[in-house]
Amino acid sequence: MENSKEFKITRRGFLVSAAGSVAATAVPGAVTAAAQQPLGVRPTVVSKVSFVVNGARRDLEVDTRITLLDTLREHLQLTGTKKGCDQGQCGACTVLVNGRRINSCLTLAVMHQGDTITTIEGLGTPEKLHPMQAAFVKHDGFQCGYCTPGQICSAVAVLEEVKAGIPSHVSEDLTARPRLTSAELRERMSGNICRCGAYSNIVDAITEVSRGRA
Amino acid sequence: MKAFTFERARSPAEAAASAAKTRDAKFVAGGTNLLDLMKLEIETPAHLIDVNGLALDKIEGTPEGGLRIGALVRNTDLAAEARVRRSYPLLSRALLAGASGQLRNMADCGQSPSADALPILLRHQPAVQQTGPGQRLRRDRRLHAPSRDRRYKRRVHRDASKRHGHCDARAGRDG
Repeated sequence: MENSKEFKITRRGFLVSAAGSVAATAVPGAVTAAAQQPLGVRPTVVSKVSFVVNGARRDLEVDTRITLLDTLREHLQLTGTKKGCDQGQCGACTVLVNGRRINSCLTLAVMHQGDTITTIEGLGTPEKLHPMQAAFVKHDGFQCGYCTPGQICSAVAVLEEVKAGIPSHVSEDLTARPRLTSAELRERMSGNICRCGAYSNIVDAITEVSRGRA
Repeated sequence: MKAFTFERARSPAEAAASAAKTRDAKFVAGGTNLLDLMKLEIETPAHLIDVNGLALDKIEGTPEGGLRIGALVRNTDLAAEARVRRSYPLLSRALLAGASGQLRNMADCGQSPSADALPILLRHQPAVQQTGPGQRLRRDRRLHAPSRDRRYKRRVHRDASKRHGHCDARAGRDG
């Protein structure tokens, strides 16, 4: 570990440079392939889009096909938001758009002109954690951590949804103000899957924040 | 995913006109179904018309005591609306039984009323209001429950997605 100071390379940095060198050697082949593009292949379309991410305005030119998730990760290097299933079922890609939680894998970047987006990086910093982040650490609300950014973004939105009086599938009385029971919490968080099974600790963390004790 | 051109429509008439003149055009609102199918190249639109800016996101009472639901009202908002919870609890329940909180925040009622909510909506024989290309083409057409119309799925899908910038449902109360 003595070398670590003078030989600084992260796992991500290594992977990126390795991928770069592979791409460089593949360039002549790629050019040939492009020249022999078969008829009927549609050319890539690039479009402009501007939105605010974690308080900073971003003006981008992106392939119209790119999802909000891939834009955050590949264009803005906000890799806290994770890609799990890429089809809206696992919740790892959950971010807040205009204050509401959505699956960033099932929406295109170009559909978010003028929107305000908050990712896990925008909730808190390592020095000043968001109460939900602090509660997840305190209650051990994860093992591998892959689903955690999505879990935390989702949990923050869940507390807002309960505050706004939005009912859930397990609310007994649709017209009463919802209470954040364990059953309510589990139902509302059901769009976030944790392969490690840290659910009971996740419930503890969110419950604590909901009671204002984090 | 196949490449496509993209536009943000500013009015239902503009959206309808654009869909009429562009080959292989599709509307996108919530995107939860369409994007999934586009990734698998089951859907391969050449042009995508984003209708999210059309301000069709209101739920209003009608003089007959029913509700007029904008096509862009999200599933979460329809399920949580006070009048829906009070007078149409089955609809609220059906919406809340579908998908996840994240998806319900995205899915619009015009194109994705969810498999659970669709029969409840149909039970009230909703009238669908449409806007077409060209002149002001507006029709009120009643949709029927499955027992009365076996082709209901196709009709609803077509009514809600292909040619119409605007779809709303007017209905009587539950029970």
